[in-house]
Amino acid sequence: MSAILPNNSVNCWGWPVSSWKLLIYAISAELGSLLLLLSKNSSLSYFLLYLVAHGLASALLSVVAWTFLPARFREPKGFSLALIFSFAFFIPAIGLLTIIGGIALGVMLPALFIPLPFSRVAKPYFTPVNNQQSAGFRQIDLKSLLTSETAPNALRIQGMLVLKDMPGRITGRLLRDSLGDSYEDLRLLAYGILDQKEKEITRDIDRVLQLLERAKESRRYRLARRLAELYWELSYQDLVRGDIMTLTLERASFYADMGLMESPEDAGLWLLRGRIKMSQEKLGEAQESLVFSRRLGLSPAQVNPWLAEIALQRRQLPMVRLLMEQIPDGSQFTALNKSVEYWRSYGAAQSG
Amino acid sequence: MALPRADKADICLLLEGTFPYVSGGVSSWVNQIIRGFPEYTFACCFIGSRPEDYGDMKYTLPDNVVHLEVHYLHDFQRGAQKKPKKGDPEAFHRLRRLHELMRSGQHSREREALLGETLDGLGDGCCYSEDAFLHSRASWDFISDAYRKYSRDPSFVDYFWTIRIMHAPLWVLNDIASNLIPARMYHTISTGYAGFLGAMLKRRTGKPLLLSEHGIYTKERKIDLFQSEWISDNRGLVEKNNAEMAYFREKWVNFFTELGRECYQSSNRIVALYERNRQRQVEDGAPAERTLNIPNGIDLPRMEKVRAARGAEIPQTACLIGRVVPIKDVKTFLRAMRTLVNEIPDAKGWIAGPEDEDKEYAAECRSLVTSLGLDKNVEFLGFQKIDELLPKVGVIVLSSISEALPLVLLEGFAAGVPAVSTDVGSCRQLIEGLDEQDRAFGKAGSVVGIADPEALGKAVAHLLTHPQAWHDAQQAGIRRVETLYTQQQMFGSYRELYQGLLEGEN
Repeated sequence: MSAILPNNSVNCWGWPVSSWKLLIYAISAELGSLLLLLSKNSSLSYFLLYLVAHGLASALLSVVAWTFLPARFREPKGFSLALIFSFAFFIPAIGLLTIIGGIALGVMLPALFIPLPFSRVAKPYFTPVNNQQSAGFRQIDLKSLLTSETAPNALRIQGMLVLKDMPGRITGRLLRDSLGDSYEDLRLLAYGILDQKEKEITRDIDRVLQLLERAKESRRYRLARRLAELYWELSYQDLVRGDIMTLTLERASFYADMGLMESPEDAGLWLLRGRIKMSQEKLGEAQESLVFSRRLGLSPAQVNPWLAEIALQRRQLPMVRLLMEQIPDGSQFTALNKSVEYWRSYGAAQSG
Repeated sequence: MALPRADKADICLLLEGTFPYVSGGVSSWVNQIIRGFPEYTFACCFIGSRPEDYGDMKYTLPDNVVHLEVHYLHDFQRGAQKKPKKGDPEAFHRLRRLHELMRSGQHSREREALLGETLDGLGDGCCYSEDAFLHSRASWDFISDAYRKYSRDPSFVDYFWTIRIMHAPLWVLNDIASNLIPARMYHTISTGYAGFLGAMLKRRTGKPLLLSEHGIYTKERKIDLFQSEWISDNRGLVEKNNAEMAYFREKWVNFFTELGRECYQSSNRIVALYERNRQRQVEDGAPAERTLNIPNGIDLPRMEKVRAARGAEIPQTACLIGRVVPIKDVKTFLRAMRTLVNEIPDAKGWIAGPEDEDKEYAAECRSLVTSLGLDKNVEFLGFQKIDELLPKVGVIVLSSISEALPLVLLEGFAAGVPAVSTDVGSCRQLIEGLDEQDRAFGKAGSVVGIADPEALGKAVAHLLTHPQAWHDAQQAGIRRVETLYTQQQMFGSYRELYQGLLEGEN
């Protein structure tokens, strides 16, 4: 009640004080009118006076009764008040009881016409989002656009924005080259993109490191594996260079080892370790890890290319051929097919 | 402490996020300028984002600062009663026209007139009052029409609130402009909100406006916006054109560009620190004939004392002097320290600057130190007195991704410390020289590409391990500063500007 009548103070029964007052006025007015009605004088002026007093009492009573109505009966205000007033005015005494009965019925019976807070709206339609019709570089090689000295800067900025959503592995070098661009905005955008990619991974690393600190024995393997992957990702996406890359690979290798201590059967992690060791140029350890991952069940298509690369670096060409031949036809690495073909024909040429 | 109050001043400085509440290169420069002109009285109008972002004053106010007032743009407790209103559709129709003109990017009398009318109408009870903007039907229609017509981002909710939040500071600026004490001229130290306030003040009072831009404000906002993660992009896979910036990001960039353009248009003179920045101002809409370059200058006698305090040894210390914020790219400095420590195991890396501006970034930097295994080598010193710090420094390092004409390099040179810096702003000019005569002084250190920690670390290591190269660089730095970057030269140029503008006013 006080929420609806914010200016009224409320007494200990929760009634607004002014409602009490109004009720007393109403009863006084009604008593007054009854006295007038029962008086012996039956002139028109007495009757009119009675009507005024009764009307006043009914009006006051309506206001009091209205404030106690459940909220949904109070709207629309005018009609709601008028209804109570009519009951009180035209049916003296019993009118009020009728209202109370009506309200009780209204509260108890299920509503037939509940005003739902929904309304019908037009069918949604697809809003084509405005696209600027100026992306003219689609036919141009992105790399030459970005390194071009003659292309308009706005176009080059658009090109840079495209790089933002491409994998870091592919864009790393281009982004790095753009750090030395003569146009500052481009430089800053390239920096922003690299920084963003690096930050995402570093944040993950920090989070996992914290988890690892208080992890139970059983969770350690998963977390260590995740850390090895994340550190590897920094190097794989070309986000770190030089001494930092060395450090990152050391970390990756450390956590890969930690993971393998807990779960030496993880063939995938052996493969990851092999690739980390390759990046560290520790070919012996790399080969060892990769062979393990083969033994643990990874397919030749997954592992042999890396083993072959090690063999190639050691100039063991027959070994390369052998490894490449073991890769089954039509393996999922479509980019690999050409080089598999090459080594097979090399083998054929050798034996021929 | 009560702020000084006066009822008038000669020069009113408009300071956004700088002196006297934030320490840094620009703030030191403001301090230097005020103290350099004791014959004028200054009023300082500080504009910040929120009260909680700033602590106590970082500088003692010079005696000729007679008035200081402090305002916050994002202090949303102004308790306006919210009542829907109809608004003036005709006025918003004109506003639409103004935005169209802005979008076209061209200057015209019509645009000038419409802007003037809009700015005049910002007061309470006028057609563009804050209340009309926030709570009127006309404003709603204006915003929702613009959404349908221009927005490339599908979310109306985000669009609506972006527009509201973006424009909200304009009414704060209008209030400031209405209540500021009279001054004979206005001097703003950046474009942006302070610059726009300058434009408003000039329009109201007709007094001259001087703009001294250190970094290019619009560009720095762009960096923030490119890197910010709070701006959402709601485009779905099909709607997305990768070659476009997220729409709201672009909107913010445009907003700041417009603020800057208006300030450039209103300024009587526009000062850049070096030529490249002056060109950039012209590209961004500054009338070329009003622009000029005044490089920073150093108080040589003071720095000579600092130089005299140096020992004979070269301290094996690389120091980054600057706030710990992303634009300084402290992380690259830390990574470079890894390279440096690999070559000189007991080399020290100091970061001398406050960390309170971007606490999250500072925390990331500290955790990077640990993860690089540099806990023993790297120290965060907090804010330091340059006179005490520089004698203990071997090389000043600047790894920033954006700078203008960094005072720390000049101070370092004057104090006999060579520098290694990224190739940003005028750093190459400071280290290697600009024209032939300048280059003849020699190289005062080296310049490397941005975000290339290895090159940075190697360059520092080279200087620290080759005493001859270090001494040559030291001498080159000293000669260059003494010839080209003195405080006398800078004060001379500003004296001319101030006198010219103040006389013009009479």
